[in-house]
Amino acid sequence: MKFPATIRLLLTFYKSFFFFSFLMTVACALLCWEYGPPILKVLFWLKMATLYLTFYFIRSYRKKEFYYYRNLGLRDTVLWGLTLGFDGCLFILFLILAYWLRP
Amino acid sequence: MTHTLTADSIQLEFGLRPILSDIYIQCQTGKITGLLGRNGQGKTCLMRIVYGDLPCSSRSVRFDNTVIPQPYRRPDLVRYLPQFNFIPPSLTVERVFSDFNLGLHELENIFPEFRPSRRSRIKDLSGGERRLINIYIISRSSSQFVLLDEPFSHLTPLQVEKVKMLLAEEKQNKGFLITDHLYQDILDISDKLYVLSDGRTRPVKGTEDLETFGYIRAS
Repeated sequence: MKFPATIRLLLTFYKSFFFFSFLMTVACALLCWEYGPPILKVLFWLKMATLYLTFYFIRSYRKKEFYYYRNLGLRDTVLWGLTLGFDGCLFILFLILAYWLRP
Repeated sequence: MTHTLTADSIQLEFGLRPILSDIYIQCQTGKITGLLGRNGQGKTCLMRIVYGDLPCSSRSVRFDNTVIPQPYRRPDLVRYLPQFNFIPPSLTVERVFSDFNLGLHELENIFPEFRPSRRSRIKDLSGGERRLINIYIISRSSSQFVLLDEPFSHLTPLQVEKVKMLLAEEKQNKGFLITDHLYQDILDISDKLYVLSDGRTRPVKGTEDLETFGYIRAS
C-alpha cells in the first residue's frame, strides 16, 4: 500500500480514540502547568492508565473493524504502535510546553 | 498461471473438546471452493486459521507449496470477509472504495441502488447494503485468494443472484473459499465442495453425499 494511504488509515484509526485521549493530554498539561514537576510521576501513570483503558475498550468493542485494516495490509501491532506512539509524543510535547509556559 | 492454496494438518481444540482434527482443503485460482457444515462444526474457525488470525496447536497453510505462517499480513495473497460487517461505520462509501483502489462505477452498474449513496456513511446504509459493500470490496480487490464467511446473509434473493454472478466473474482472477447456510446457492457456484463434520473435511460430489454426511435430511 502507498505511504499516504497508510497515513490516512492510521489517522482514521487514531480518530476513533483521539477525542478522549487528547482530553486527557490537555488535562494533564493543565495539571503540570498548575503544580509543576512534583506531579509529573502521577501524570505519567494517569496517562498510561487511560491509554490502557483506550486499548482495552477498542480491542473489546471495535475489534471487528480490525479486519478492515488487516484486509488493507495494516497489522494490528503497526496500528497500535504508531498511533499510541504518536499519542505518547503528543502528551510529552504538551507537558514540556506546559512546563515552559509556567509563570 | 494457476495458484494453489492448501490447508491441512490442522488441530484445534477448545479446552478438552476437539474442534478440528482431520482437515484437508485445497483451493485453486479460477475455482470456487464451497465449505458446508452445520452450526458449531468449526467453519469460521477453519477460515480464520487459513487466514492466520486464529492460533491453533497445529496447522499447515501453503500458497503454491510455500508455508505462509501469517497469511493475513499478505493481502496480495488472501483477503477475508468475516461473517459480520467490518468496515468502520464512520467512513463514506467513496472513501472505502478509495482505500481498496476500486471504482464506484462498476458497483453502480451491478447494483444501481448505490448511485445516490456515494457520500453516505456506512452507518447510514441498510444492513443489506452494508453487507453488499463488504462482499464487493473483498471480492473485487486484487488478491490470489478470497475467503468468504456467510456472504449471503442479510441479502435479498435478487442480491444473492447478483453476488453469485459477481463471484463467477471474479473467479477468472482469483480463487474463492466460501461458506454459507444457503447450501443450494453454494452448490450452484462451487466447482469443488467440502463438508465439515466431526472435525473432518470430506469432499462432496453431489447432494447424496450431503445426505450421507448428515448435512441435509434424506428426502
